[in-house]
Amino acid sequence: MLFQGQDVSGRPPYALARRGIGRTFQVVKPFAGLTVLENVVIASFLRHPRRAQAEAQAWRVLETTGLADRAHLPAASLTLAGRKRLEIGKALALEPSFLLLDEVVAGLNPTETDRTMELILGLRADGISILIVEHIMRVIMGISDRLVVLNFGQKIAEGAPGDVARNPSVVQAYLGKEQE
Amino acid sequence: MPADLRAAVPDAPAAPPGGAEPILEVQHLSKVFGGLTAVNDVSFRLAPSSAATTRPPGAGCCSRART
Repeated sequence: MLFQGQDVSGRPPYALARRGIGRTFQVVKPFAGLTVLENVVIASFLRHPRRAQAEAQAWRVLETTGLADRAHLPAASLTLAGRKRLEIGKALALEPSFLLLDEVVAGLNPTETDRTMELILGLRADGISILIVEHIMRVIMGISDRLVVLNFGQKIAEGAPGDVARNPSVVQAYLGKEQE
Repeated sequence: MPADLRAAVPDAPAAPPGGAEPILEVQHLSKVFGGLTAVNDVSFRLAPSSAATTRPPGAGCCSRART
């Protein structure tokens, strides 16, 4: 596995973070006993060893992710949508050039999903490359430049969203085979 | 997976559009959890831009991979 031309296979998470790779988890795992701000500050320490600078960076991330008004609440008090945003915030605090997102809209309602899509598009506009694992087609089609479709672990299609959506193998995998 | 679902997907990773240098290149990646093969010999390249992988619901999702 090559990241920016360098083999990163098997590298530990902290080394990947230092290289510029951030990631979120489908099942969110905040430090529940800490505040929202403290959760993000921990990640900010990677680039900013001094607390004041780490906190300043964390506040910028909280503004980006729409969590600034909940900064001093315990992370455990957030809704699922809030905890998903905190997950993205923790990854952004690493100041990544490449972001891996694992089903960040799973369990969100349509409004929350739309806000998360806007957030992802904003990050992309800021120059962050993003790889998302997702199976909600509305989300995928709305934010992606390129798709790789897996079915039971095997790649069945790859290409631009419009082309992939018309691919017979993809249609069959999602909707089943047409009766003859 | 039915054999006819395996479309004409090239074995070699496709080049990113526009000839850009890939930010990520995955070659023949497989991941096995216990007896379950969650990712089976997958290769792809990503240009520096947004991208996504997706899979049909129930087609080997993470919750199954973690059993």
